[in-house]
Amino acid sequence: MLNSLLKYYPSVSNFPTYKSGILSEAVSSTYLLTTPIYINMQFSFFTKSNTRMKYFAKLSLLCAAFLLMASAAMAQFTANGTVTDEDGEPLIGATVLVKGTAIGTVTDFDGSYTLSVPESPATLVISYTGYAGTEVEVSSTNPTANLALASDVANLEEVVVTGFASSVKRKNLANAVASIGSEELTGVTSQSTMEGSLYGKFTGAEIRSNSGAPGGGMSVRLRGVTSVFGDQQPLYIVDGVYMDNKTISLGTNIVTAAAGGGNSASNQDDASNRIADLDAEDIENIEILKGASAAAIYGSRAAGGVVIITTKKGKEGKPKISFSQRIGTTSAIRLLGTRDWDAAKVESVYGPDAAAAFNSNPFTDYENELFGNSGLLSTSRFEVSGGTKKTSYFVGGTVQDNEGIVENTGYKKNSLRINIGQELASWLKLDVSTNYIDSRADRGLFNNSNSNTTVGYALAFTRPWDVLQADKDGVYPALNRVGSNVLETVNVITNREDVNRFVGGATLTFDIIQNDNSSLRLVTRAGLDQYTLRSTGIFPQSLSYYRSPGTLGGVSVSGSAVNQNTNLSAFLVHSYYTDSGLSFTTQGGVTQEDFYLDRVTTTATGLNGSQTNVDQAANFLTDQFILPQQDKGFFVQEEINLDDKVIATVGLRGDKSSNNGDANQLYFYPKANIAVNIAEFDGMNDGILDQLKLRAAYGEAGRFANFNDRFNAYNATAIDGRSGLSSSALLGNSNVGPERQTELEFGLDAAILDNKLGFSATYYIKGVDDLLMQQQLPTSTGFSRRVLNVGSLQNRGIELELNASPIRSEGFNWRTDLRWWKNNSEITRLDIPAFNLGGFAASLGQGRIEEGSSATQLVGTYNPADCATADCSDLDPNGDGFRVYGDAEPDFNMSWWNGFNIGNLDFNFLFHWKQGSEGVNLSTLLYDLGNTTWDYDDLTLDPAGERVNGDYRTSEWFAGNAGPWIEDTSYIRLREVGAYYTIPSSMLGDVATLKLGVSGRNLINIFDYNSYDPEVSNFGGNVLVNSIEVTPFPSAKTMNFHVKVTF
Amino acid sequence: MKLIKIFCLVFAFSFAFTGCEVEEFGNPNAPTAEDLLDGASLADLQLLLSGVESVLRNDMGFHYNTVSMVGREYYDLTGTDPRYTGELLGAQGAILDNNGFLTTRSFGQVYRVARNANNLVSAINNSLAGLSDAQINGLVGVAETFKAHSLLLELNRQYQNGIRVDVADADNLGAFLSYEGSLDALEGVLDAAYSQLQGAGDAFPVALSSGFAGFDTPATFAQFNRALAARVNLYQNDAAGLNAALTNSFMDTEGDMTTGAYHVFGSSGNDILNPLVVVPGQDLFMAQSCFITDAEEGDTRVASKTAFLEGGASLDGLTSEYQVALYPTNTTPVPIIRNEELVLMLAEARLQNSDVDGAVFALNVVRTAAGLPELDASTMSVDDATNALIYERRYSLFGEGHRWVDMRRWGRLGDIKVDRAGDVIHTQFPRPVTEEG
Repeated sequence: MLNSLLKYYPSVSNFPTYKSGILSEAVSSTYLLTTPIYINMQFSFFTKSNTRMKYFAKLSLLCAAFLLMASAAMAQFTANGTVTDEDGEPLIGATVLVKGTAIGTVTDFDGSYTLSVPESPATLVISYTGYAGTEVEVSSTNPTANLALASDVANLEEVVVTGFASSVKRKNLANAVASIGSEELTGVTSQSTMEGSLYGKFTGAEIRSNSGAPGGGMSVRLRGVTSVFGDQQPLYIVDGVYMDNKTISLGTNIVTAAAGGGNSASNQDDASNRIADLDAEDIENIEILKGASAAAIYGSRAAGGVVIITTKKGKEGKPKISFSQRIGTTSAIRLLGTRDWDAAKVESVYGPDAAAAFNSNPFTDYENELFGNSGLLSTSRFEVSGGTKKTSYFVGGTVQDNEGIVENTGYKKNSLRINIGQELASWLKLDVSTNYIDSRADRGLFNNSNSNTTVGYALAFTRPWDVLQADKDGVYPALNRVGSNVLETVNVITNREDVNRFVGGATLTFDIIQNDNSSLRLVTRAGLDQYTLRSTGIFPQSLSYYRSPGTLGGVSVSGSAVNQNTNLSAFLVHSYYTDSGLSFTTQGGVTQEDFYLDRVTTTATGLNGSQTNVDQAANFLTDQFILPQQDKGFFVQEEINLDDKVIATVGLRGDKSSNNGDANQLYFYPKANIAVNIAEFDGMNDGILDQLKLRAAYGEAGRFANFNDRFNAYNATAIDGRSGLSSSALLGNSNVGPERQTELEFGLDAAILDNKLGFSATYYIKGVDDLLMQQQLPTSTGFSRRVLNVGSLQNRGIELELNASPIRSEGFNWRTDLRWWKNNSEITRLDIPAFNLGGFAASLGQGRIEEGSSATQLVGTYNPADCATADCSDLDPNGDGFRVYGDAEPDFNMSWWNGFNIGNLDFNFLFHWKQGSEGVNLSTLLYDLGNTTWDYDDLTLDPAGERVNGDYRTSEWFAGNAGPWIEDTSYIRLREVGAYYTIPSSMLGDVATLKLGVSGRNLINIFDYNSYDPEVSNFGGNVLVNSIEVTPFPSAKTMNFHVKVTF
Repeated sequence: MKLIKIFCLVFAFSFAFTGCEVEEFGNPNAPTAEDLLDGASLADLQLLLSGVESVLRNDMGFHYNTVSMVGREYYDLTGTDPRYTGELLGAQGAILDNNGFLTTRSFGQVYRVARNANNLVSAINNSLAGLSDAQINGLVGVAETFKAHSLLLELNRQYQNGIRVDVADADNLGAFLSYEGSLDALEGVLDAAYSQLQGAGDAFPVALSSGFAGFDTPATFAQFNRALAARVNLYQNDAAGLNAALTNSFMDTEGDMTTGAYHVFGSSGNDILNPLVVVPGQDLFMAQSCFITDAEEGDTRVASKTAFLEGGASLDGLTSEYQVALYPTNTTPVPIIRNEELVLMLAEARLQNSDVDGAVFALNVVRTAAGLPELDASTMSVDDATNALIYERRYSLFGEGHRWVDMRRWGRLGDIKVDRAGDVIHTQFPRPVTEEG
């Protein structure tokens, strides 16, 4: 079979001339072509494994022979020239390629190139990311071509990394892959976390912050919800390393009892997610594969989409050194204020004792005391990069120290990245990236509590005349009716995450064959991501609520989570050109990923006096949780490119995982897509139309079951000093399998007027089958749930994008991007009865999964008296006792970015508008119950105009109406704004350029939501219903001043 | 051609790390049902029995607190969850949510006990520990008695909704029985367990906790079993059965009122703390004010079960100056059933036969223990004695989950004082939504 295939491609065995230098990996795999041979080879090598070693020993000799052959080739003529931008500045690293071949080079430090061209005349194709590509004819008589590239608004020439070992020019891409470069990411304002920098910058995403606590805690959903009980978060791949993004519980539940007593881990303790460790400033480019059609090659880990992050690399040239310093402040987006009190009102609400206290005690606005401060933000950044022809290096270091708006909260991070590329031989290149991160987040104590110990919760019950200040001995008064003293909590407790993390990856690229019309490349990659997360919770015995005997007597929580991900992969990419302009790229490879989490939490209670060490205590509880996982998979893909006119791809991924009920069952995920560049067809490119592309893509991806879904585990208990075992609430399912996502996407991309105006539209249908549902078992079984593959959901969405460069002139440039997107989800099949999930109770607003309804609908009980019909079918058409009050998913999102460049002044801003989403605000509930709500006495809610807001909400709720807690969470924000002035090196004696600027984040926030911020989640980011607020850490806005010196 | 092959082999070589098989991991965190229920050793049986006893206590706070609050024995004025003063007290007619924790937590806890007890029974029957028939009888009797106790708590909450009693097979649950049918079924479980305990030899092969000190042999545990059976007979209005059960129980009119079986707690490791503890001056679990004002002068039960709180507490229109003070420390045991209740049941059994003298004799046992003067039976009618019984049960069993159940079975829920206009007293908890359909 192999031989018969080779007959079609005789040149493969001819080893003709080897021409020029190594191309950048990104470009070559697009242009270099391939045969389908290696699929067959892959099957055969397994049978010859016993002879692998012998063959390998001969490798170096053979390689040497191969290279000798290559260097013996004859060159017809040498083309040369320079490539610059429109202003004449040299472009370093632009790609120059002989059209129809794999021969090419990149420009050097001066923008110059020289290139051996086999025949005369020939056409050179010049491309550079961010600029419109061009072609020029050269011949032996006219070998010099100097070119100025125009900037490329539609990013047609941008190279998009779409897979393990290959990339595609945006022009040829069949998917709507979002790509965000470093300038867009961090160029406008400083970013607290990597995901925070993505807000509003691409379509199809719902990014939200779970709270305002420093150090992150965000969730990203790409194209709607993709699971009901599974993690919604995308897979993060940083330079080929699978970077972990877990949210690991802080173990404060023993104090807050947010999830009821007895649980040491809870998702209500406002932990951060670990992708926050990645320094946004290290990032060169982010590509976002939003669904299965683009991400199928990542198989069972791709259901949430894939975020491919490429960090900065050095470029050939003298060292480039830059130092930047940012100083800023952060302050609450808004404060809510206090209820207007007078003595009569106090007496009527709390009785005469309170009125006396009101008259005699000082009046303190505790909200302002706690949240009215501003925190200092400081970030120092150092970068050195450069390289020679064979070596490139990049060193980036960040020292960040951000205070939160609440005293004793903050986020510190030190990050060091060293990326090195080395050409070991002309056919062998090694790229190594390393990143060490040391971060510390002091999170404060917020969100839900059933013991009234969180700051937010206690504040709802604290009155302005309550005296909370410490006495002269530093002892804080106890507030019986409140449960805890907020000033004491803020000043005394510690709730901290410390992370030490190393992320390292190495990629070895063998250019096995490289000739006129074919190339073969082997890419092997290894990645390691390891971190230790230490959580420290110190709640001393001196706390007012731990002083008495009979209390826990002080709590110290020491958690240690060690997480290690390793991934290995090897891919062969073969590219093959034909003279007719038809080209083939074939790739195939195998991957293996191993994951291991080991979390040990020790909780000590009954602390010895003022001691905080967990061994200085009367009682101990240790909890260990181990999460192992191993996945193996293979992937094959064939791409056919007809002269950049029609590009079609088919591929198949196969995956196994230890998380499936049957670990060694192989699950297959196919993909296929096609892009037609109409503008490339003869007669279509009339000088106005730069691009017109129609595209369609289909792909499948999956999500593994959770490791624990298979088991009916027995929990350790103890009584009277004797250990016991008791059945857990989860009934195991040994047949559990992955969820399967299928996505079909159609789109159109167009660019006109010298790429000054670009337009892109995408419509997608994304279905998820075999949804893993927690079948709610009758409680009388003694179990609460069993995980079954029993449902389907579908997302449909539209993404529109308009890029324009209306003004492009010497002294003034204006670029603008307008994005609009929406997504609708629907549960299309549910083989178990409809059920509520998330939140606390139906009377407090919950999600509800039912066939035919949105997956993100918010329902609640209602007051039958509100019904217009006797059977309440107007409010409750299903007759299930629940009324639909809203949907957490917005009607649409829209963002508008503008960049102005006036001489040396740059000005950018980004607006983000989210419209028509709802959330559950239980902060007002708690304040109402504490009688302290800021708007308690306003008269704006009751349609009858009789009850003041506080009374209205609580009395409606007592009558069964959950409506008062469900609010509109739409907003318009000025996400980012920045103005920078660059003093060119010519004005500074050619020593350095200096960039000065001022920027802000979330400076304008318009919303009609009755709390700090409509964008919070008491239950973190990994749950379906992530729009429930319970007294969170208030969100903040930031202002920064920037200084950057580049040598 | 050869070269290509070579490189493919290199490719393969670089993948020497990857075989085709994926490792299958067992559960590294906990044993699973398969590990335990087939071929259990004696040590496994001990773990499972301690597990059942331990689970008996989990979430019990929800049961005792909700039942005590519906019965207006005390209130939760901490404000930690608004449902304690809203939904639970029927504020402005609020109904109980069939999916809220007030309903579901206790229901779930009871059936977890049943699950673990049933698992223990199957582990015993499939054990490789070499148990004798007597030892098997003894352990099964213990497991079934615990199960019946737990289910009876839930039946008190579900009342006319009834409960499922046969829940051994998770995929094939028994039907919901009527209230009376449920009582009969529980009586059957207890009676079967009682007869097994009588054929159980002198000792259990594994140990119970110190909460069962005095009830830790088959013979004495059978007395505990009969005490529970007495409760069932009381609810059935079966005076004869009640008398028989009390006779075979540990009832002792001359004994200590506190003698009985208890839940015990610990602060170390996986043990749990007493969830009903009220920290003086801190946790605002407040006795209904009339519990203090309705008390007879000198009733020591008031001072031993409540404590004055300086400044009092109020929330949502409810006010009280007395904290609940049943359990002084967070490891104080909580009674499952104790002698005082048995003596009061004796009084009630006698009243069911209109034996005022006999009833008052029993009531006086309790009154004497509470520091109160004896009643004079000769001046009392059956109604007087009944009122005295109501009073004694209210004060003797304060916070132990009885007042609401008692007033309901006597048809006197309307006699419970409601402190806030518009509140209603719920008759029963709804059947959880998970049980529907």
